Amino acid sequence: MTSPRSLLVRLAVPTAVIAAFAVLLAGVWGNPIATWWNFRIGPWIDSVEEWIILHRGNHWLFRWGFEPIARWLHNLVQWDLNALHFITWPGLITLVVVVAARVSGIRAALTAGVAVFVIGGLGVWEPAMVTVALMLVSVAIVLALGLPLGILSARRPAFERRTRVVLDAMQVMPAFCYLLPCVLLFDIGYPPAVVATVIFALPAAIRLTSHGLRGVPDRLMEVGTAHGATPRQSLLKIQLPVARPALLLGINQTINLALGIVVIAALVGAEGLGQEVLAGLQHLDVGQAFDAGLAIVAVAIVLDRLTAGRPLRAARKFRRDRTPERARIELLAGVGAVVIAIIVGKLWSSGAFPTSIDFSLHDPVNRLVAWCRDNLRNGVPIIGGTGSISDFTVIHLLDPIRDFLTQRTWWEVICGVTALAWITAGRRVAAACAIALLVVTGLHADGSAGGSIWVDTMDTLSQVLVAVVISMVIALPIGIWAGISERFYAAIRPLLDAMQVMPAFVYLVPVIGLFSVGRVPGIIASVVYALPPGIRLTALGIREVPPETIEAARSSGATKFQILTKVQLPLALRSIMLGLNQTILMVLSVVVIAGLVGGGALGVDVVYGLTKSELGLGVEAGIAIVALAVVLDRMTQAWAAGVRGVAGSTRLRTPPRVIRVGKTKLLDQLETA
Amino acid sequence: MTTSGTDTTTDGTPPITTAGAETPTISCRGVWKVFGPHPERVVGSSDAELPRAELEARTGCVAAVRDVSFDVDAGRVFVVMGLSGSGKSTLVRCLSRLIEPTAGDVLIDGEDTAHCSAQWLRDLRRDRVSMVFQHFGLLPHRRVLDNVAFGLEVQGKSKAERHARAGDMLDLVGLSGLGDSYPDELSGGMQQRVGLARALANDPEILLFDEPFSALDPLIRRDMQDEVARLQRELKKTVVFITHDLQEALKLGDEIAIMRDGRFVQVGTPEGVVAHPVDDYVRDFVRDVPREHVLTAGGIMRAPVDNEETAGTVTETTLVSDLLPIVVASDHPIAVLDGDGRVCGSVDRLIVLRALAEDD
Ligand SMILES: Nc1ncnc2c1ncn2[C@@H]1O[C@H](COP(=O)(O)OP(=O)(O)OP(=O)(O)O)[C@@H](O)[C@H]1O
Ligand SMILES: [Mg+2]
Repeated sequence: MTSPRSLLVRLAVPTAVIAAFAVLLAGVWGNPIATWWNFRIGPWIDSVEEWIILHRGNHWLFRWGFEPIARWLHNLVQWDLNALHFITWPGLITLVVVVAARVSGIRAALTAGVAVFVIGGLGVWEPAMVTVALMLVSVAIVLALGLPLGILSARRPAFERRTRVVLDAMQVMPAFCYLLPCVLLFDIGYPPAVVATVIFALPAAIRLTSHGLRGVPDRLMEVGTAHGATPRQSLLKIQLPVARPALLLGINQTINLALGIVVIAALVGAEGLGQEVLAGLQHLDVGQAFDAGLAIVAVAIVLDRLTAGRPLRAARKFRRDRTPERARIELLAGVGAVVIAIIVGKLWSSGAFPTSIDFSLHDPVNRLVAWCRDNLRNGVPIIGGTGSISDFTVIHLLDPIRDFLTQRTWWEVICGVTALAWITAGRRVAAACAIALLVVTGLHADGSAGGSIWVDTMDTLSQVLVAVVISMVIALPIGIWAGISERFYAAIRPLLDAMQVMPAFVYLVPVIGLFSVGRVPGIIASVVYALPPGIRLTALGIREVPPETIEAARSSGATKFQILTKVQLPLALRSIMLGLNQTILMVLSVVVIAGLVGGGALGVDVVYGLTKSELGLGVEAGIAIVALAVVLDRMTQAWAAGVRGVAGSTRLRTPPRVIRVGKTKLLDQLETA
Repeated sequence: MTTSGTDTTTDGTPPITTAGAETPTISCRGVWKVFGPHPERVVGSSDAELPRAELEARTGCVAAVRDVSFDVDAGRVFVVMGLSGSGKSTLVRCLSRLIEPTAGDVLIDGEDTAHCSAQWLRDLRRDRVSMVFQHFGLLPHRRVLDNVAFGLEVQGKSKAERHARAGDMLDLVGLSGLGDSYPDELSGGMQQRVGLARALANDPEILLFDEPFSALDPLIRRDMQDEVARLQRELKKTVVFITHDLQEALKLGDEIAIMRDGRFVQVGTPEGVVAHPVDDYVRDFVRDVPREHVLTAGGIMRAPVDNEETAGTVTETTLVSDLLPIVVASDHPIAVLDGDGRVCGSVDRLIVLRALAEDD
């Protein structure tokens, strides 16, 4: 099959087509690209924005469409906020403890209670309440839409097929891209934040619900039919309860996703913890950002404990021990405790969190940052210090790649990428890549740094590639080790879980402390953020190799190293490829966040567009990010699909941080949940 | 029971219901189930005769059940045997229309199940037909008691009523006091007892067993077989029992059908099947059976010879294993008496030896 001749034949067609394509591009579009190849998206968006600003007050679309929705969302958030204020901080702590104790058990309740207290102690009670209120509204809407749609898509394959493309698109698009149109339609403030969060978290909610329901084995569904259950009874009595752990996990994941975006929504003027982090980053006040970052983690912990549920055994014991009288007493005690706490809170300092309780880390952190700046930037033996690492990366990695990409003419890059895609991933992927990149060339807004969108795209691409390579270089050995050693896996799993729960924002804080601002800190933050899926999928791929296969290899005398290289790695390759794919998507999803700390290029364009009201630029940069995502995603998906292996049988497209590739993985998660 | 005591091969011709007999509880007429695109085209066409692989290559279809007909009278146990993939599960699911047959009729108590409303089918499954599954089919989120009560819950019975009934059923299958456990806390054998209790809870007239004991180890399997035999003696249900274990079939079945590639190749009494296998497939199945535990004097005797000197008598139903010491101890043939005590045949050493040596 791979004789030289057939290889020639196989390469001949792509070579000819791409050569023709190159001639076409260079000849017709020319270099620099012809001015008629211009989608004028930026100017169009700008004029739409102008129109909207002019007509927001009187056009029916806003009077009867978006404004009532915006007002309704705003009121919901405000109402939640008032409620949170009304019950005061002792009331809230008690409420959280009581609910978490009922849902997840005493230990979880104590953790959650302490976390709420810590939020107050960090001095960010007010912004945290805004974040919580935004979360409550967004998550409620996501679940209200996502659960029924998930059930529908589990039961109607046709519906599932039809929505798949839309959900894929919603998931692959970095969250910032939603923010822009949301701002246009809903103005700034809470409403666009809620809408963007809903759009971002909804696909995951639908998919995880549908996936969970579909995971219920047919033979259990058959039991229902065999007993004469109606479809409704089968759903309520078998499918939903059996899928319950998976559904709860889905809700839990949805909340995590939502939190990530609610924080980012600071960019469109929604106050809250995100605003605090942003302000800290912008003023290089790492201490302020650190406090807010810790508070975000605390909020994540609280929400997690409120929804985690009990582990199987504990849940059964709880249900067995629970008599109706006992349930009634518990309810009364819980409500009583909350009411008393509220009264106490009202009497004590009118409910505001007392300033005397203060364990803000603002000053120590800033001192530490200053110390790092003075001592670690340079002159550390051997590694030379963070400053030199940073310089080294820029000079020897980033700049060469960026220069290489930007010095090519645009059509050389397109033809090169298309050829690569064709050879490694097939015709259709090549076509998709060519189209995606051609779209980028049709964007003509001037980037915030003066370069064109195309140049910024190449710049971002170089950063993404470096971040992905570094991520994989770190993730592979760790993942392999975790795949082989049960002990090591058990040791790092909680860490991986914790890393996946944290919003990307939080990673920026320590990175800036060590590396100041620039492209390198952006890359490091992306790497840290993107590591977990790479490690996890590598480890899972290796762990899923059937023990019989390994036994067979061992019994034919293979050494451990041979087993690893000849059996485990080849079989895990597909899972590793999926890890690569997820890593890329994660890195892309934080391009904008990297832009905040000097990553430059497209990220900065988006931020600039959002904050400086240059929506045209923001949208064009957003489209370019999506185009990059399409190219890299399609190519790596195809690589993964082309590999034979044990993992990845189900293509469950999940957004960053929801890495599930099959039932076993779901179960793997369930154990830890 | 409609088929005669010995063997009936079925190549499309069903054993015909004897005129005047009451309607059989279950009656299958020319049932087909073909999986794949355009299944109806395969039924009855010349393609249907093709071997499995060829049929699949040519039409993309798998004929899981081909033209199967049989009757089961009230209170009888009909066993279907066959190798893996021969279509047993598909057949038994066609009976309660968990799988919709491609062609043919299934009659329950003389009522045709085709063209029935969804509600009628649901009522059938709620009240009259229960199934025990190979993989137990217990719902992991429910306590044992609630698993047993599932069918009653689906029927809309009150909690008190269904728990009382489920408790009784647990007593019946010997699991008293385990109602509060969860399925995964029980052993395999206990889990299948729960499955059995659940099937019995709505007091169905028909019980369908799809290889209920295949997943159990041999000792527990024997226990469970005894349990089913006991329940059957007490409760007198009409049973269709799927198995690939001949011992099990012989132990429980009033009548056995042997299935291959979707067809019944032989239907008959346990003894008939063991004594007169119709082809090599069936012979392979029965090869390892200890024949002396299945064959009876009545099955192997020769016609009585007048004025023969006999050394003793046995009845028609005496097993050969019991007959052996008698013929060994005697130089003369032994007379065989029928139910009314009349001599209907005789056996001697040679006949017994020949029967045991098999292959007729
Ligand atoms: N839903 C289906 N779609 C396509 N083919 C099917 C389907 N269900 C069963 N088959 C095919 O029909 C044939 C009979 O299957 P069936 O499950 O009835 O066999 P079985 O006798 O019960 O085997 P086992 O002893 O393994 O349970 C098999 O070859 C199987 O591949
Ligand atoms: Mg079967």
